[in-house]
Amino acid sequence: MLSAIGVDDIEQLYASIPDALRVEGALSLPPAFRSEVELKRHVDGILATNVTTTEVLSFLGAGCYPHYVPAVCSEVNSRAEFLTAYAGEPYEDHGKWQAIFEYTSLMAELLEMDVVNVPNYDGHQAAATALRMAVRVTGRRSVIVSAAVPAAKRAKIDTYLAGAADVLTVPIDPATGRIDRTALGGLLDDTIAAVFIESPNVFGVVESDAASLATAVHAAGALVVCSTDPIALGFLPAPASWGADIVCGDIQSLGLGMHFGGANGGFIASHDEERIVFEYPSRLFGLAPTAVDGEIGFCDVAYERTSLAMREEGVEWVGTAAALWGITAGVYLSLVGPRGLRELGDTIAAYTRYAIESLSGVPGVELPFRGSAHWRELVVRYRDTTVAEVNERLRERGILGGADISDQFPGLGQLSVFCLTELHEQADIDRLVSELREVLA
Amino acid sequence: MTIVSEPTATRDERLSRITRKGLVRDYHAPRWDEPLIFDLHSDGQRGVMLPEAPSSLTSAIGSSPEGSVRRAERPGLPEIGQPQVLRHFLRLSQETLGADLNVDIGQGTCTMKYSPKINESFAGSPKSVDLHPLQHHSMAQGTLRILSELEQYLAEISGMDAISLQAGAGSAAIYSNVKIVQAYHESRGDADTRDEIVTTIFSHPSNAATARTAGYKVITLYPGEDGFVDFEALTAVLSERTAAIMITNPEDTGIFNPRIAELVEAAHAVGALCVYDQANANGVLGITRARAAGFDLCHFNLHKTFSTPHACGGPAAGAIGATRELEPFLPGPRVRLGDGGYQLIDAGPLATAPARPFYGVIPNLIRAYAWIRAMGADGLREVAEIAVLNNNYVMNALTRIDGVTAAYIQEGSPPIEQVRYSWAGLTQDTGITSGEIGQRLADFGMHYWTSHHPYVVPEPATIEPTESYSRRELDEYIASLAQVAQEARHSPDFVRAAPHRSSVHQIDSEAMNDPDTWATSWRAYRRKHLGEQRDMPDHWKPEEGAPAKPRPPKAFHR
Amino acid sequence: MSVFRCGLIVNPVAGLGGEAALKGSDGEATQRLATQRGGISRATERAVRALLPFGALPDFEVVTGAGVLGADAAERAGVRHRVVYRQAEESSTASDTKRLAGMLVGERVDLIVFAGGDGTARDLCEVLGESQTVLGIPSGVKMHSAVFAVTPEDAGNIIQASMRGAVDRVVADVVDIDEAARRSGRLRSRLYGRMLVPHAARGIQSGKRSSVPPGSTTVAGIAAEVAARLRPGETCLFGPGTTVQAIGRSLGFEFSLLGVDAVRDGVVVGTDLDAAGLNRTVGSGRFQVVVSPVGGQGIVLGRGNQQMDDRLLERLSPDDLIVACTVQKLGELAGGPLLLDAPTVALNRKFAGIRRVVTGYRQEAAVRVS
Repeated sequence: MLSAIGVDDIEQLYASIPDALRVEGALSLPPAFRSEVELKRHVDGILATNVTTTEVLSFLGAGCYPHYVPAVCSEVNSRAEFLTAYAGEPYEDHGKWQAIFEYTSLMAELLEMDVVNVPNYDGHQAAATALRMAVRVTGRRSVIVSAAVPAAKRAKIDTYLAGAADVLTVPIDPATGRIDRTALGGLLDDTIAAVFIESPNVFGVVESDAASLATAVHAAGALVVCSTDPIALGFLPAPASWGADIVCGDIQSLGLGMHFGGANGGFIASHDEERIVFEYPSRLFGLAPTAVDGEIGFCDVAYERTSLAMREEGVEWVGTAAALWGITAGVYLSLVGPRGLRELGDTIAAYTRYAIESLSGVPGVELPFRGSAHWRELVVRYRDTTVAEVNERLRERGILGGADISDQFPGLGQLSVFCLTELHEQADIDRLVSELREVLA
Repeated sequence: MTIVSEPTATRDERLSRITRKGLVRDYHAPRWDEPLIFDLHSDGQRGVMLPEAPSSLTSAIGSSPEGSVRRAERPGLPEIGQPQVLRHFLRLSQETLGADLNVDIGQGTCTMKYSPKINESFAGSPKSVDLHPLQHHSMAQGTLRILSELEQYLAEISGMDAISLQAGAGSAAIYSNVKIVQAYHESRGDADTRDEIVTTIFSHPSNAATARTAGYKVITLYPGEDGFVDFEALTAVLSERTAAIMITNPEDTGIFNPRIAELVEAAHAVGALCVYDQANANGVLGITRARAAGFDLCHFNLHKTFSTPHACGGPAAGAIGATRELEPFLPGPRVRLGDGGYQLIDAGPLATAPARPFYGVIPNLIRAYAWIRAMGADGLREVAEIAVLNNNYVMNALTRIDGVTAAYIQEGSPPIEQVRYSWAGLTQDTGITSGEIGQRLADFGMHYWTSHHPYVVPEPATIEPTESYSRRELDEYIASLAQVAQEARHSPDFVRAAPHRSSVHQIDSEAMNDPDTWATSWRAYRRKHLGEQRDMPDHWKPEEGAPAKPRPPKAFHR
Repeated sequence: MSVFRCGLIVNPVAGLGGEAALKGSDGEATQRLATQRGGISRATERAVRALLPFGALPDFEVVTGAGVLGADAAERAGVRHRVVYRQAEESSTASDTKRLAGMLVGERVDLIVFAGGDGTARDLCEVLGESQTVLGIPSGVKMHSAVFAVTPEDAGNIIQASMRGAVDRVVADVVDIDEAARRSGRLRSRLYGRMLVPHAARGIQSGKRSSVPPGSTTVAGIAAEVAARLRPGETCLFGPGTTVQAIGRSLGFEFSLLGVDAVRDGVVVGTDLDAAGLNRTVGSGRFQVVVSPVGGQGIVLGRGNQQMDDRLLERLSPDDLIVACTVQKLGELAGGPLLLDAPTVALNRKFAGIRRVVTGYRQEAAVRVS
């Protein structure tokens, strides 16, 4: 090939790179594995030292949830065509466009909203972007965020809104774990672009009073931005039904698996209000006619919003994010269907309540929000010891206790968030309760 | 292929010809004419059954606090059996031209290389998938070791002192770098005066867009006649207001700026940081490093250079490299090897906010790790050299086609891993645009990309042959493109009407840019085009008489 | 020694309308009006600037018309010349141009250089078509055709290159503004024909592209940035063209499409002003100017805004010249350089260099202007 282009030495092709910038000698890296066999032995050997949640009894959630991944989800997202496609047009990648459009459409049904983005990175990014959208839509310079939002998500919101809007916090009512309604009333005025509500929130508590919150927020001319987990919507009503204007969150629960917290996709949804649609930074896919009557085609909707079309004049930016996870979530929703999602919701609600009531009988454990509606997660307070200590002792017994969120709520004591999903059984909860009794005894 | 009912040639003649295939394929994309998934609905069907709580527990929901928030009806999803779901999505996958199927050198800047299949088994291993990010570090030693060693490898490859693997993709890494720049200047008390970021028009649009999102004033440098950043222009705009310069090199034009170290020096002289976008690093692995040119920060796209599959546009992963001085500003917890094995430690008081939940896109970090281990130092250098050789081979052949030129390529200074071509000559002669060439190339089972906007090179095409394609495959792409150029001269209308052999025909996207007719979902389509009536719940409404924002001019994807 | 024979045609009334804000000097009535307003023809002066390098050359000969048709210019430049045509009593400038052109073809000159604008180019195109190599010295008000050098000095350089035989010839469009469209507020050029011009890397301006009205969001960003830079109590002049007009609309001003308008403290204080009017309006203090490069050509000063005369530009600080341009247009110009053809060489030098061009709100492009 060198001779085909009239070059003697590959070095001539690097003529533009000055000597001073060259790497001297070889990089210092471990030697290559000669065969797949050796590579596999090495990597599998390393991974084998992990102890997974399926090898113990885990109650960890807190932003990464153990839900079943149907085999068909993995089958579809490991198809070479989907796995290795990229930025092709409908003329090469028609199937990809349709699969992503179907994902957004299935989400639209679930969320009861007409507009859903092609996924961005994760639920944190979705939350931060949803709030900036609201800031742009209203032209106002402050947002109010519920205190019951995971700390890392809040950090993302703060950093992402810096310079664009002030972020105020509305506290929770310590009696219910829900947003303090009176405090919210005091913060709302005509400078507020949006109120950010998470439901179920960081405590697993459902914001059951959301409809009346939304009425108050709308009366102040602000948008309701709601973060939720779509898998909860077989049980809980769609946030749009009680007045949410922009709904956002992560699709990790929809067939992606946990991956040590490394599998995420962010969704943002809204009604088909032109002012809001033009503020989406993500790509939006639409259904379009083709030159052949009756044929389904797909294309971008209002592409001119994006940084790809407009560089820095576009809305925020869009780039490679989580498209194949979106397709996977679409497969999940197609498989589980309305009945499956309903049963899943009931099952998780039932386990969560059963765990709340069972744990409330354990000496040294308090259930601060026991009377509130929960879904999938619940928070306990250890009266006499730390979460770290309890978890250490539980781990010795093959149990991963709830996540430690004490640092986030210093006034509320030692708080641990337990997560229950369809992968648990009633006996798992019973076992937790009995082990915890012993640990705390 | 034309099927002739009465063969004009004898069987022996036909038999003797079947192995004489030319380079240009008689291709047709799979066409399933697949309905939308909603059409597959059938009452009562289920694709998967999930475990149920005992009825003794579920029946208690009604009287529990949860009973008051339980929705009245099931969500409006379709009901479909498992085989039907599988068939549907497999058909759609067949109508998708993955890199595994084609000579995918036409998606320039995307570094479409082979993603080894063995790495899928690592990424999808239950030993990784079933790991929770908050479980005790003693139970995640394997994954933490992979992260730690991958950091070391990328530090060596970039020459930087420290690596963060947290960013979810290339643009997310760029944004993280902007935030690091901001935090650095804040720590020195001059964040307020340093409110400008300088970038170049041939750097990825995300450099400008993320800087703007973070609140910076953006100054874009345009190329001189040689395609390089105009050095005088850079020095003219640098000042005590400059927070950073953000440069891609080689730029998206494929040419390496030999004066890159001087640009860095000039920026450092005014106290600005220098951020290297290494999206186009594939041709310089083991050849040159970000640190050598003096950069403070850099980033890699692991889904480009380090072979993790592109996945229809993600999940991806970005890696950020920093000097010792900037390491304290890196986002996310740091992996450290201590007495108790690998641990995640807090990022410290100066760290920027986490780029994403938890630690990074783990499946892709594992894939990238395995790829580097399979390559080794010599392998990485060979990757670069073959990528550059392939690129120069393609350029040599393509520029022989009448009507196409290679932008900014100078004698004695060959391009690195890609070339930005211009079909301006062909367009002038035939009226066929670069976008139309791309549409026709789909008929050969190939991708083709023009360039980011705005088009600085007229009628652009960006071709990036990575190391993953054989000479025959490159010849195939070249021959197909040459044929399209011929067609443009002889039958321009035929080219204009392409694609002819795709899964679909020309799409009329006009309706999707009009708020009255766009259909962003099946649900929106039913309301707007099938007359479905629906009550709107309570929602935000713009203030009475609030003026609508002016809209940008319509733009289309190609 | 072979002598390079350079035909020269000066249109003595070209550019008359410029400082008088008449958008062009076509038509006898316009020319009379321009004279009454005190407009000064500079076609001769511009031809001299182009011819100065040839003063002492023995192998260079200008073949031209008598007096204002070219001999005056050749004489002032000190160039050897020969007169082959004299104005008839009853002739118009258009008929002089065409007849002289015919004579020059008969003389088999190597190159025909003309000082004029789009109207002159149209007249020449009628006679010459693609039979003869032609080069325009920009001297008119409108110069949208691709037959003009950027400045008279560039024309001189191209003539020198032609003498050395170092240039190819290319076909260039002769266009003029569609007057009907302009009256309805749109800037659209119409193709009248083609001529052969010497091919030069720098020098020949590309033809003006019809300016699609720029997108409102892009321009809204530019407008916001421009608004932030306007200084209270000072006049800001807004140049011609669709981009600047759209900026004005975004700021709530109704500007003329082809005129120079003045704003002070948020109020339009002058519309479509001529040179005298502009000088009067800005008064004695500091002032700002907002211009946008002419689409497809990238010329910032000296095309369509000649009302900003040397007196005015000498008083304008380079920092107060705000150049605004959409990224799309900059892309079409391959990022520049943007070009200057101010009334004098000194003024070209004054405004040249790397400039920060406004491309949006808090966005700039660093572009060379030369």
